[in-house]
Amino acid sequence: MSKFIGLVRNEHMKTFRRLSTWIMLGIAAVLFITIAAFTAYYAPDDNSDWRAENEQQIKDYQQYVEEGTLEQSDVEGDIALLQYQLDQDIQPVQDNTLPAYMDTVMFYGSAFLIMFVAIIAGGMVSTEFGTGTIKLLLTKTPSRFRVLTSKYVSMLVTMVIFFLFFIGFSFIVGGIFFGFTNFDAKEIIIENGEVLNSNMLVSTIRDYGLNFIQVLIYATIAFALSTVFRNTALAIGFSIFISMFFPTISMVLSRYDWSKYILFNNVDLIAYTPGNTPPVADMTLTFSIVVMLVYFIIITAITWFSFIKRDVTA
Amino acid sequence: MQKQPAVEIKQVTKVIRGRKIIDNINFSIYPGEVFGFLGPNGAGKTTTIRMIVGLMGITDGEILIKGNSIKTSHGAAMKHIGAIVENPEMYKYLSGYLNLVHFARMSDNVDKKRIDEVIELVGLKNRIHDKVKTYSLGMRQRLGIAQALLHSPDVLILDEPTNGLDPAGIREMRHYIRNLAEKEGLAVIVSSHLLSEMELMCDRIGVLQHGKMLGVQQVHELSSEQTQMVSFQVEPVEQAAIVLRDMGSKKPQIKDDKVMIELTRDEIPVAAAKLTKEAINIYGIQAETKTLEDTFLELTGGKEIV
Repeated sequence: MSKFIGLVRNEHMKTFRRLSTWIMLGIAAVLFITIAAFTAYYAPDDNSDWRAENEQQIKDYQQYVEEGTLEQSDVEGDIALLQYQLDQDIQPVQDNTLPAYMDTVMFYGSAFLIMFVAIIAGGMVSTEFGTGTIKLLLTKTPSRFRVLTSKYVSMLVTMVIFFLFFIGFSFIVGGIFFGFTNFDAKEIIIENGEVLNSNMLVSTIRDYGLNFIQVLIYATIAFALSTVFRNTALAIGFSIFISMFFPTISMVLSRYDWSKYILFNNVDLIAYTPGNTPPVADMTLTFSIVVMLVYFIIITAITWFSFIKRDVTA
Repeated sequence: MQKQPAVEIKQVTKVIRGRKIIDNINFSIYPGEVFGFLGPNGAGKTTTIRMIVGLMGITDGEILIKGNSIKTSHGAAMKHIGAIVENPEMYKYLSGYLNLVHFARMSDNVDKKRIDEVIELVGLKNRIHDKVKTYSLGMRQRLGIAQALLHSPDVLILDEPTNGLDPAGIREMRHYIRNLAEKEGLAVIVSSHLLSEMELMCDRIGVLQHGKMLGVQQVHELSSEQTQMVSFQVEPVEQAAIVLRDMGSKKPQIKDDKVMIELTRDEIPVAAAKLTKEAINIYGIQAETKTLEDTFLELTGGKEIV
């Protein structure tokens, strides 16, 4: 066991002694600060009247509907929300508050998380083949199974580190820019005519948690491609491409019932949180979890089998 | 040699996509000896080495490392092996020291003291904390050896160890390998297509061609042949050839201003005396030892040597 931990530490050392890993974290940090700066710059004045703004927005929506630029059904929800805020006298959460900022970072950051983790996972095995170091890695006492498992475990830990960095750093940056206040900011969601109040900070953290599953699946795919094809570019390219373009493909396919069995239609569990809908109407959370598990088992089985059985000719 | 072999290769065959790469080879390597694996490129040297270290599967047969099958008890077998397969590839963005820490974590009972010991041994003390990408090829080679020796193995496998080294580096490496075998009692397997190299370094040499083991021979057996080719630079050559006609096993041959004849050591002065007696002028006598290269060419049919 202690040797297995040693193997994981080795993988970690290789990940975090690489400049590219720190560049990714640097890019994320710059992104967070930029978002914070823009939010602060474009923030409305403190003495602006949110009630008047809400009323104005409702009027605008109604006017668009009359002109025919928007459908009544598209704006119904928004109008109801604005009206609810007026009726209940709840000020909408301003962008220049810590919870709203963290939510924004989560929203824009998820694509970066997938990209960064896919880059790390996609290089983990194929780089060893590319540089020939795989020969040293596999001519020591640990079995191939242990070597590959240690790499996967290290990838998981790296993912956790990245998530904690995203949450922690955006919290610090948000706090510095907007003050460590408004922790009780409420997000109002209207679903099926019902109004739901939820703590914004809590739901942001929950979304990070659900995103973790999605990133995990993309990382596992990158890791699998990296191992099976021993090609870093393919592994990283394919997973990032799918994560970016699948939403579009999904829309095209959504009219076909079978599209719900496609893995990528099931990875975004945020679709099951209030205010969101899954890609195909009759999909449920349990369904998606089962689909993901089945794919996960198949993908990892192929990956481990391929790594253990194939000759090393690098 | 009655010792227990360090490595036993038993009827090993490797088939890749229906093609027999290695065809039923057999040999054993004993502690304290340097075994050379000789053959033209593509003969199957690297494939055999990859099978010994478990990088490639064995289609048929068995490889035992200190009695442990590489197939069924990989961990126990690998414990005894230190290897560099082809080039000494290391993590270039890590320092030499961290590379060693990396491999130490993969082995049992390698502590900091042992790491320092090995660094001292390969003479990399001054540069060990520099990144490997700043190392010369010779230094990388030495770091590769350090990595292979880290867990005090009984068998050291070096695939083309002198590849890309300068003459001084080659000499150093040779000295080093001999030392490990003689003083530390390691069984060393080296592969090469450079004959002169192998001759100086190895105790026994196995010649491989087209995936078949053509023969395993003792090095000094190969070098000191019973008879050797002797060339006499003489004048007149024709007459000298006649004089030497009944000496040696084969007929003397005339080559430019020389007479070539196969003689034993003791026959050389006798031949010289004969020539002098017949008033033939001798300008030079040269014994051309039959080199390993000749034997090698004979064994492999003189083809495909690269």
